[in-house]
Amino acid sequence: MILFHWMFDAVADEGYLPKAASTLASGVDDTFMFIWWCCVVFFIALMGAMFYFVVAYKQKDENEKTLDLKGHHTLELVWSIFPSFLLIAMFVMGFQQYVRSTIPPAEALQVSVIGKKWDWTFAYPTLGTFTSRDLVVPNQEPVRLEMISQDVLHSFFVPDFRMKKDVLPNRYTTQWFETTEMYEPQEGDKFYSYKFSFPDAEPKEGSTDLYSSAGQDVKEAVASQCAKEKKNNAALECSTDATQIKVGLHQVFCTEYCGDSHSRMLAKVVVLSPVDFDLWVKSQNNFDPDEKFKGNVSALGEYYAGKAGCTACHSNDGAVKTGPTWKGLWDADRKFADGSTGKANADYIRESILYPQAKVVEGFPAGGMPANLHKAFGQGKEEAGILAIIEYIKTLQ
Amino acid sequence: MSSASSSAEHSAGTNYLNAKKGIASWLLTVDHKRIGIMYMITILSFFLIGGLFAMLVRYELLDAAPTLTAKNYNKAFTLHGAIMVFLVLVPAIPASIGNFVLPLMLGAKDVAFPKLNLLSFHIYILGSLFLVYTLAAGGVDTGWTFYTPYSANTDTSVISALAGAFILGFSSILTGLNFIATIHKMRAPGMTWRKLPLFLWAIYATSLIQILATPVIAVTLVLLMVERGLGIGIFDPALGGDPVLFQHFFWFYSHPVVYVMILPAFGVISETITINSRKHIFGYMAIAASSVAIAAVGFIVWGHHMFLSGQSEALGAIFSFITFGVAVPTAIKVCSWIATLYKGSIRWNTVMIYTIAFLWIFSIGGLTGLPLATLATDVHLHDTYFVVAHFHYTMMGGVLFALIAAIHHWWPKMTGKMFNETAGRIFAIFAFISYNLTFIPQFIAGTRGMPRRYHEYLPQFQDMQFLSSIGAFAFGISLFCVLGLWIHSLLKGEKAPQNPWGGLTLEWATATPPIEHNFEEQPICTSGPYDFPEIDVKEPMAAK
Repeated sequence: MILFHWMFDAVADEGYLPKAASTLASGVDDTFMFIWWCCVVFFIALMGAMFYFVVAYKQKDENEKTLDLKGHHTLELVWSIFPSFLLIAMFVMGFQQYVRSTIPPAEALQVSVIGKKWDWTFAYPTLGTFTSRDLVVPNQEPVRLEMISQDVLHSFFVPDFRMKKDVLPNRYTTQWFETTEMYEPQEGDKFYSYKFSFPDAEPKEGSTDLYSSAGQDVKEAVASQCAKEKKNNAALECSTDATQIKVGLHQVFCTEYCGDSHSRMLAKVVVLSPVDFDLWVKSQNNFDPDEKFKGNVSALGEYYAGKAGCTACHSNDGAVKTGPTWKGLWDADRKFADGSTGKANADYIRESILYPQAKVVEGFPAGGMPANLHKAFGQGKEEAGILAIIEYIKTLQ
Repeated sequence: MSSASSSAEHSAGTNYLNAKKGIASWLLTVDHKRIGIMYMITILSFFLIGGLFAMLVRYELLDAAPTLTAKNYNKAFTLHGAIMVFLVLVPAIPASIGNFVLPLMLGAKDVAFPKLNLLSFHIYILGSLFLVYTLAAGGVDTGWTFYTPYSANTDTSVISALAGAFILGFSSILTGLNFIATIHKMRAPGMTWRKLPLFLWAIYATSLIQILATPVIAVTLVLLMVERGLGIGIFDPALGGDPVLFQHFFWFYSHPVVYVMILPAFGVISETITINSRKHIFGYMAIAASSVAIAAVGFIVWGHHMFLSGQSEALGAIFSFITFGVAVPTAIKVCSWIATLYKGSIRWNTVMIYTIAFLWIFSIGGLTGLPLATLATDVHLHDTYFVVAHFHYTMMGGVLFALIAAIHHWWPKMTGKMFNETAGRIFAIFAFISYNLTFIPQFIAGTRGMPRRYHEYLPQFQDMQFLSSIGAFAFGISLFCVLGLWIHSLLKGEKAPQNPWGGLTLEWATATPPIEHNFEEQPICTSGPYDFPEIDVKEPMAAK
């Protein structure tokens, strides 16, 4: 009983539904609450009648007489037909909201959502060639998501937006939303991306990973872009101080079971004011990793490893994914599928990036890694990128 | 239902339990009663294994931080689901209680095809061995739904699990076939369709679904095996297939199969609620017809599992609408059961407590189906803990509480022993409370957005997951208490009279435990199954 009491206290404090942060959410919530109250009324009526009868007609004497009642047509008609009206009302309400949620406004910003085991990537095909690990969107502007998976089924779920749809490997699926206001994170709120370690989810000490801070990376990018823009246009309303930049944060979940790290396939929605969003887009289009990681070549390597998608299959912590882990790889003895052996030196790593099939480590699938991933480092950056990744791997002992 | 059968000699004579001895006399028996008992023991054993996996899952979720590895957790919930669905819930009531009770209720010597009945048990064992092999071979991690393309590519033991489920399907089909033939051809003289006990109506509707839907899953599982084994592209886009096609095939079976689980439970409740309130069932025809209606409509609602799968929005709207159509006959049933209690003479015994618990649990399960049938709210709730809680309330809570009610109800007939009523009532209430403590928090966590099949979760879900785990452990303990009650009854129980509950259906008209061929002579059915002597027929009938 104490446990039940605790449970209902928690509900009273926090409510049933998460915050409603999209234009669709309030309509969904109204539908939900309508159904909820219908259910409450019916449940109390049914259980009330049941417990009343059970108590009122408790057997007192084994031979007592009971009512000869085989049915009652009027009553049966009432409880067949009356709920049907409510059911139709529920259907209609749900249908209307659903139709709204399936028709994106024509002017919506297009964002591509790419799901793969086990992270999300967001691309902005109409704004540039950059990608992001968090879904950064302008506040109060419609956003259309065109979603595709690179392997198995995933599902893209943002509870605060009442929005969810499966992400398929063979067909684009679409959903859209528009935020209603900027929900800044409150004290104690936590938002998670894949790179965080559970349960405390603090960024790793000294992490240079661009994608793992709670909106901090976005704020910094906006602030530094603002500083650049102000040189030309001092009247621009933006802040050069990252701590002054407002962001709204929402949690993204994967809700279609996709294997080992399904529960870590998380991302954040980062909501910016439209002005800040434009600055962020500019900063992403002008992003220069050499400048960002000046003097820290292993951090540059980590950046490239993320950008080229290496980390999807190669862990840096010893976990076995599709490919061998990078932890402890440097200078280690390797055994290959054809029975030969070798050392993981710089030549070997470069060869593995350029010609993945040349030496396949024993126990891993041949053909598992596509060639030419180094092209993702950028035109003219291929060899420098490979050297940076080698330096990064050296640090993973 | 009166009977011409007298069983004056039964007390001194032999019965089905002691007529033949030795393990072979059980394993090769064609006696439906022994087959029913063997099913019951096997099913309860697998329930124990599936339950231990559930405890493992709840142990992991006690705290947000992981204890098991992700792989092991994924295997645990997959095996929990696969064992519970294919080995426990589908055969739970029809194969165990149904096998034992059906011919007795009909006044028949056995089912129509006794050897086929034994074969279906042996096929069940064979199928279960494949699933046991899957356990030994390192488990499987696809979820019980085997969604492609994940299941086409994971390196766990998928083929053996699929083969197990495939073989189990045949057991299900043969049992269904047997029951339909038996109900059609072997009713006692005088037992018209309108005098058929409602449990048999429910089994009849169940059997129809089993023989119509199971072949579809069998074909689907074979296609998936072919895809994995031979690389022929059917569902995997990498081979040119379509993963959503698998979902259509899968749910075309797996939605009707939830009615295979729950309809027999409805049947049990119709029996236990009348016998323990000494009244006619309220709306016999409505209850019988709604069983068949649920079975029929259940075939055309599978798409409500797939609103977000990428199927067309128009299809989603149609499936949503038809799904509400299932709510109506279900509501009719619940209302009719509650109306049956009106002005009855209600016994507060163990069976009745489980029956009341069933009505509570099933009402919650049914009502929480409404926001899931509604399109816009399902978008938010789909694949969250809300769904987990919903299907546990319907499938697991509904079936399990009805199964336990049925076992207690027919326990004296099956074993010839009575059980301790006081302990039975205490355990029933304990099970009921802990059950609710397990699953109500899951509704709340799900509404707040906690996705299912998560091995670790965000801190804001900690409270609800913790409560749910505590409830689950208590529920596990309560079921061990019930098991203890049964063992105590077998060892020390008082001898049961022929008809301890005053039932009118024909199984109560023969000896306890029944003789090998059920009846000394052919019983004749002269009145309805619920014409209890306590009913005051002087009062004018309200209808009909």
